[in-house]
Amino acid sequence: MSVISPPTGRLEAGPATRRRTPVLAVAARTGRRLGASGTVAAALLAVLVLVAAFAPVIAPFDPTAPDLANALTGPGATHWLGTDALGRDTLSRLIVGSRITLVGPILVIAVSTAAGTALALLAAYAGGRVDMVVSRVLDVLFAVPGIVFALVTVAIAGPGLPGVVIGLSIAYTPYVARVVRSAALRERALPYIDAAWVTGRSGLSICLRHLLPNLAPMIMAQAVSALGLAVVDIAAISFLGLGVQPPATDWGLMVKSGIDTALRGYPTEALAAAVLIAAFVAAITVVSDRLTEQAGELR
Amino acid sequence: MNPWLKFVSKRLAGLVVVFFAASFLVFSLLYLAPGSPISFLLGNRSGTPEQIAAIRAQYHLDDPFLTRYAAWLGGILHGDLGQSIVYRQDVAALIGARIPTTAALVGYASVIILIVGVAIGLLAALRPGWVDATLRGGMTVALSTPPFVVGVLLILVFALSLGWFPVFGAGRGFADTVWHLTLPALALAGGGAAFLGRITRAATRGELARDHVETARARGLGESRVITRHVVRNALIPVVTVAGLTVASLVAGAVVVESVFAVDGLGSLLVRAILQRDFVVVQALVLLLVVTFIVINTIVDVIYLLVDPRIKA
Amino acid sequence: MNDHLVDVKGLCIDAPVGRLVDDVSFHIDSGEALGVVGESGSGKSLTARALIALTADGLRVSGSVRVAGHDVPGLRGRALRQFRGRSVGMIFQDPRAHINPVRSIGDFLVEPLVLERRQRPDAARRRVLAILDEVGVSDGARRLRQYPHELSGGLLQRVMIASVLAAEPALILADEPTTALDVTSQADVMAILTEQRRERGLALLFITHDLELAAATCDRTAVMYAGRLVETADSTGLQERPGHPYTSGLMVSRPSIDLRATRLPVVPGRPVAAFEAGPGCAFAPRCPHAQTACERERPEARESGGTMVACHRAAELAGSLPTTIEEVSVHG
Repeated sequence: MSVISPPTGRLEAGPATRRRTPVLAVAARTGRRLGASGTVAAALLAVLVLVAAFAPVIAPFDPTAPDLANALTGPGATHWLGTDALGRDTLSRLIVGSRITLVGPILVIAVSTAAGTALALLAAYAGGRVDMVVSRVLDVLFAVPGIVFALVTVAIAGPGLPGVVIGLSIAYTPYVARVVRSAALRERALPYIDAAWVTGRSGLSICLRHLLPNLAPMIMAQAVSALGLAVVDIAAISFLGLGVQPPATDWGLMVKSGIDTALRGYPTEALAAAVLIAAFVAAITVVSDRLTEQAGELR
Repeated sequence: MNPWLKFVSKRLAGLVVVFFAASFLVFSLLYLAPGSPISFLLGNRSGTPEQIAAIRAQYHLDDPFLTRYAAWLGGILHGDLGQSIVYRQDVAALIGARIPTTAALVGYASVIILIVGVAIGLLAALRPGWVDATLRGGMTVALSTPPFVVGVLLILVFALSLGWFPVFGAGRGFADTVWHLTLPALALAGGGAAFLGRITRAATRGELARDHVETARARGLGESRVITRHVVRNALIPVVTVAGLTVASLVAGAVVVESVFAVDGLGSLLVRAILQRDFVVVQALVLLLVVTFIVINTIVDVIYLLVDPRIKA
Repeated sequence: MNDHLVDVKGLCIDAPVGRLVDDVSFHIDSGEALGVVGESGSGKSLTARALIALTADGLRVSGSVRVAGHDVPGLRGRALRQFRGRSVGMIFQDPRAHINPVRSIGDFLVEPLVLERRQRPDAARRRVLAILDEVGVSDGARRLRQYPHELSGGLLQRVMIASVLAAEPALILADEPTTALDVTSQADVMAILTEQRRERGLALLFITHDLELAAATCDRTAVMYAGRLVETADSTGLQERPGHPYTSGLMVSRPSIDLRATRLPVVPGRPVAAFEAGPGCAFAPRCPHAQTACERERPEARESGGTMVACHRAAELAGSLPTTIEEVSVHG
């Protein structure tokens, strides 16, 4: 008598799939998570970081050395992207300018994310009066748009990157804090936090060992998305002449100086710097969208 | 008490509190700023002690902090914003002359954001496939390009290469103003329109999948009526909020865009004032921007209440 | 033959993952009520939606579905809208999700009358007020101004019933209309639906997982399992003499008020979807009476005296299948 056989055991993962090197495996996993557009964007960001790291080695010319004999030339064999009014090589200036373009926003995000997360955890965990005071202070900070806040600190500290970074760091903190606080409140209501509490853990230990790790993907996604805003804001302030001061440069400042050369018939500098900023921010946006989707699925 | 009255009075009270907190913040921050305006007024000359004393007295530089804050705040409430050290003019007059330009720019950009943002968001949501993919790509690009970059690109293409629009300035009279402000408004609106488009798309998609839409179809309503009366009507609720916040953020964005196009509005005045360390002007302008920002936000809250019957005042 | 109000023959619904509804045939006459009983995932809701062409875009519907003289799968555009608006009305499971939350009750009720039937707004309003009164919604004028979140679930479901009655259809599809309601309003809503249907002589397709409720409110009852109809019979006949082991299993696993059972008998195993079923009878793996033939060959639907049963052993088992826990206990 034949009986329908039960379903055979699941296909087991063959050993071959495990033999990849760890680096490749991690890359493959990240690639799957990010999808096609996300992978391209992440690769773009990686290239940018490498360029910034090795900028002095890569740059074909000294970005600050004037060469008046070759001032204002279009793209050519020697100067691939031409030169500016002082004869400085545009490509080299873009390469070296990538450093400040990258470091400024990362500083802002690091500071505001750390401060915002700390404030949020404090408010969410302590609750009551502490939460109320923190929330009110954040409300007032919310009333000042980020770039306006940065302009105020620049007015105080004088034009330059430090004033911009300080101002934006403060201005971004309430945004981080508000998002993290509401997520932390939701997380805190989950039973496992009560369980940890009952087993006699201290408040600090619960925050650091339980709340923080579980909120990490969300905080990460939030930080990457804010990074895009920081790039835009810092570049804009540099463009206004209130950020990075010459002879140092970043892409925002190069768009500004590029307008003058464009008016004299050589738009390469302005165009290249503008396109680079847009591509940089677009790559961040795409990666942040994927991360946000991921963080949403995790919850 | 009437719930509406209660809501509005509560919001107004909150507004007043934030106004005082923000004004104190702005004033004290700039009070701390190093470098006095005296050096600017004297230029390269080293003034006599009498001259310096006269200036200090004229600008009340020797009064204690709180006295100066109170005087400043009192002046503001009477419409006196102080004297610009650089322009030697009433700050109120300096600002007043530039409000129409900035208001026109922000208003123009708002109209573009509302029309274009909602239109592309709906189109993307209702036409899945290549239309949606193309629009989404376009929105990501527009969202990623800072206004000043868009501005520079617009100048390069439409003003310098094609010559369709003027490069700089704000224009006179209605038609001329619109012509002059078109490129600046487009630059200012780009990111906001893309953002609103994304929100509209997501909200519409979400609403399309809701059960009550199935009911409307089951009752024999035509597809266009289902879309307009049920899908779009409901999706507009989150869209209204985001649209309001986007418009509020234009107040800050105008600072940058005005400088790109050399439009003589509040934004370029602020940037010049910072560079010239004209703190009286900076204080007044920052306060004005903050107040405008929170007033628009409050209006958005009230509108939200009007469009969503589920929220009780 | 063809004068049934609803005549479904060989209805199949396929999703990308596989078949969901498999070769379903039944009919409903004018004024008649048919209950369709099944577990979640048995395909009963999909079958009801096929009658009004509301199946999701990714699903493929085949077979013949005729309702009030219309070939439903072939309806398009204006004809489809008129069919939905006038011939059939559908009552959904969760009125709170199925009524637009940001439009007033009045808007909801009057909308199709004014927009699709071109009635004058005040006439439509008067008509809707009268119907609200008939379905037991008091203070109709005030209700029309209210929003869905201001009404209880039971009231909202009455509003939904009123909206269907206002369209004066020949057939009502009710998809578990009481499942989402609290126990006290379930009976009220069911009573109103039955009363109004009888008064107006409307046909009803009543989808439920409650065999007893279906039998109590409908003339005939059909039982679905894994996307197939396993039994269709007179409600009283079905309750007295279930013809299919699954039907009997459903009846036995119901708690009884007269007997203290230490443990309710359950149908062993889990329900499957049509595409998960083997080549034989879909219920065979869970059936206490299954034999080799049941697992190999699909049983044909055999009809005798208005009763349809799809079971290889129907003739042997006839009359011996238990209907209550007591009988199970007695049998061992």
